[in-house]
Amino acid sequence: MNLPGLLFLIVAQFLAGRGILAMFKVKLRPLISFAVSSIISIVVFSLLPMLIEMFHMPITKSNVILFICAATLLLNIFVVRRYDFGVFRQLKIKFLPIYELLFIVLFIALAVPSLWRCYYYPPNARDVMSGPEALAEYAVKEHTINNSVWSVNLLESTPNLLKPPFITDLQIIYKLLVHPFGQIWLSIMYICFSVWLYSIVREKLHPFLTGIVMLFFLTIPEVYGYTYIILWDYSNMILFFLGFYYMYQYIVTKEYNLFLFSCLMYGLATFIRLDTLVFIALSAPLLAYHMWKGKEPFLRIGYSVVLMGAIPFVFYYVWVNIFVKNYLPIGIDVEQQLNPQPVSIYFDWLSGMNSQLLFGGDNIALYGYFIYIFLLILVIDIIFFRRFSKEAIFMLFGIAIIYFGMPLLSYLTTWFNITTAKRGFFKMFPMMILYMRSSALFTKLSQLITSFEFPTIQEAIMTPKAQAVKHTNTVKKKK
Amino acid sequence: MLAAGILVITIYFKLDFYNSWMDERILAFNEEIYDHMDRMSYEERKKIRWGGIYTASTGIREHIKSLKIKDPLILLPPPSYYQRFGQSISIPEPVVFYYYSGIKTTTVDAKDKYKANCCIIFEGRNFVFEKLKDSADVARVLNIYKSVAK
Repeated sequence: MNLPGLLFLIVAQFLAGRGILAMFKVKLRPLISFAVSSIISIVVFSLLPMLIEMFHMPITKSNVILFICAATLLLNIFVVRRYDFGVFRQLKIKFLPIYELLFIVLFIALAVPSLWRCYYYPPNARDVMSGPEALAEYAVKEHTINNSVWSVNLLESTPNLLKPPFITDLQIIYKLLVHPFGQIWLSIMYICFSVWLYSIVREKLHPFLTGIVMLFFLTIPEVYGYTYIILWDYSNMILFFLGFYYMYQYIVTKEYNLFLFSCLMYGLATFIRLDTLVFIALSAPLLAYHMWKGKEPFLRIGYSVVLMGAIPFVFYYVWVNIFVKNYLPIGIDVEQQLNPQPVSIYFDWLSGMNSQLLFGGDNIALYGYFIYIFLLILVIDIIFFRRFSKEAIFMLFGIAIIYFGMPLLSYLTTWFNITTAKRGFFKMFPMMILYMRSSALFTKLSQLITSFEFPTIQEAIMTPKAQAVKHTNTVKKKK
Repeated sequence: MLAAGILVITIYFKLDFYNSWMDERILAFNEEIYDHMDRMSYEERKKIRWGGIYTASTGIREHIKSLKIKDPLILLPPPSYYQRFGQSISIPEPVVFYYYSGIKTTTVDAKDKYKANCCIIFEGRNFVFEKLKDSADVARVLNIYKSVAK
């Protein structure tokens, strides 16, 4: 493994992502900023080999480095003045409680096998082997994505070759700069996403409960498997969730920059999987409703909804209508695959997904008890507490969008199958985690544990004024 | 709280499903790692991950090299052809085979089948590679596949 190459990418990814965060005025604590920056810019960098190709330049190590440096510079040059280096001066080493360390050590122990397998094994998933991985391997040898793979009999492989080049491009970058098997980018995404998710759950829940909630998530068998097997779905889950989370943050804070940031995240999610557009379209009424409830002018609601669809659509359009049509030698119109089926197929798939994936068939082997745990918490909230926070309701809507939206894909395209759904449901899981962090049950438990730990401040915690003060991973604005 | 944490984690991983998941996916790593450390070359790692199909693909590459065919394009029989002779040979789809071996293959239902200059055929007691001279030769082999696979 080429460690200097890896180090170069880690630094460049952080800086480029930091630039994007600054552009959208998203302020986060340093560690969280590092995690989110790395996630975003891994996806942004995945556009670069495609751009190199569009500039008719050869895909070589030096050109890839050149484009990475240029992208990092461009993303920072206009915003460098906005950087608040003060956050680094405020850095304090804080010792975590030992029970929190216990969970963190456990999570590291769970991560180690995943990281090793990602490093040790070459890619293996059939969908990747018959498309992106073959293209990337020959792009490295022949310096172009339009390489000899396209001259092979592609009867069985076309859909995988026509998916956006997210994996192809990242494999090219990581093969050239880090490791012949590529893949390390997936481990970086896995670690960064886990850190970010932990931090946002920790904002609202007691660390003990945060540990438990994260344990539920990190041990979902199918999700864990895709932390070391490269495919589109794990990364798509992360970017879609980032978009959904920041859309909610906009609704809470009314900071329009957060909405624009969420649109960019949706765009990047679309670049990973084109069918994300369907879920974004289904999320639009949720945005419109909350804006209407927040007494926003109709014009603003209108153009926000348009923007929410338009930004991701640009990513779709550039790939399907520009790159595939003009730069790839295959004579297929991807849009022809959008082929509405009879409406009854929607209900057939909905029923099939319930019986084969979520509540029967292989559900336990795929998702463990995670879905049942979520439902148990939801039922307890309904029966015993009968109150839901705004965030909990928002996340429930998000879960419903994925649940009812997934069979819609079967209605729209012939390329849909049960494995698409199996991994497509990943997008629900971080939303379920966010539901847990704001559920009445866990909020109550959190308060009880805090009052058990610090009985003298029990009263202070229970007062409404104190409750309004939340721990947050966002850095307070300068006055 | 530490005791509670240990208790929760213990109970969680005592549940049947998570217990076996922990054994198979996480604890198995303790043995896996020693095995991996002994086999760190990229070629060995490919063999471990991709198994017999990869070994067969690279073997075919070496054999084709020895036949000295320029720009080889191998015509593959349909699976029923192998089965007819009691064999369950599985050759990966053309893109994957090309990725493994750098050699192009084609199938009986592909457009480029008449460009094939080599084929797999059952002769005597074995499957062998046979050179193909022209499209008439390809048509002859296609007929053999068709008649045998019926």
